[in-house]
Amino acid sequence: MRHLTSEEFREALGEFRSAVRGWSEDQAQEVIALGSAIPQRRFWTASQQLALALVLAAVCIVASFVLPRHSGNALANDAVLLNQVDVQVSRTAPSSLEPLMKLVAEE
Amino acid sequence: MAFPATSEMEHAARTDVALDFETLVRLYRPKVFRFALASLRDVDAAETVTQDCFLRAYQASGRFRAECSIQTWLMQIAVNLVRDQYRNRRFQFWRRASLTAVTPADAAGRSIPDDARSPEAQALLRERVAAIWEAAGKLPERQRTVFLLRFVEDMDLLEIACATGMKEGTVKTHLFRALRAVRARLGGTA
Repeated sequence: MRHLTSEEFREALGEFRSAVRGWSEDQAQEVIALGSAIPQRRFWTASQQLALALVLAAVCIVASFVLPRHSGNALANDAVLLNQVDVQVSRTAPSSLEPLMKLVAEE
Repeated sequence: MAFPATSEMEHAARTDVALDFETLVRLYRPKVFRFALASLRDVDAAETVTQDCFLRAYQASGRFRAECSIQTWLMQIAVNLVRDQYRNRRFQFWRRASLTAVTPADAAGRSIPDDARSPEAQALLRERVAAIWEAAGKLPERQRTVFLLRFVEDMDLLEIACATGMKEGTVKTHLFRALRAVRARLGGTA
């Protein structure tokens, strides 16, 4: 077993410094590269955009059939109600002439 | 946030103009990361310590009195963070199992090849670098810190004393013991 001379020891320490510095730089680069390699999260992917477009189209189609029918029914209901109101409320003669109207009706 | 430039800063910063924090990070991040990595031997832990170091520096920047250089001040923060991390038992546990933990071969294999040396001489040198790496890892905490600050970061005794909070004489003693231990390890491999 041979002991190192001071010169050899100094040289080894110098090489150790170079090795650690170089290796540290490599590691730092890897950390940076890893950071940039992480894919950035996109809010909407292409497939999600397509799915959303299809859903919206389907909703529009269904709405175009359902909504008019609902509005048509509502209008018809309103008309029936108004007729009933007319029948019950409207008078063919003023209230002061109603007894006379009854007499005419009985004849 | 501004810091006064000191004579130790790199050429880009050697002006009388105050440095902004971004410049400070750009200049000293590699150094802090290197020290943390060489001390902890775990890439993730070193990255965490580096980030914490600059966060603390930012928070404490108002208390910086320029009694030592900015570099030494940052290294002082890094030394404290590394010590806290190393004493953390949880870190010790995960370090053994971590995929990012570094083995001596990683550092030794990074030796710079020199064409003037024979392949045998290069192999021998690589072996010695690996032995130093291994010996440094087995040093007691203070000796290891002093050893790395001196022989990797090229800091002088006074700077190391300022960064570690030790007296200059104590630094010298730790350095002497560290060198003796490393050399003993190297002597066995030569």
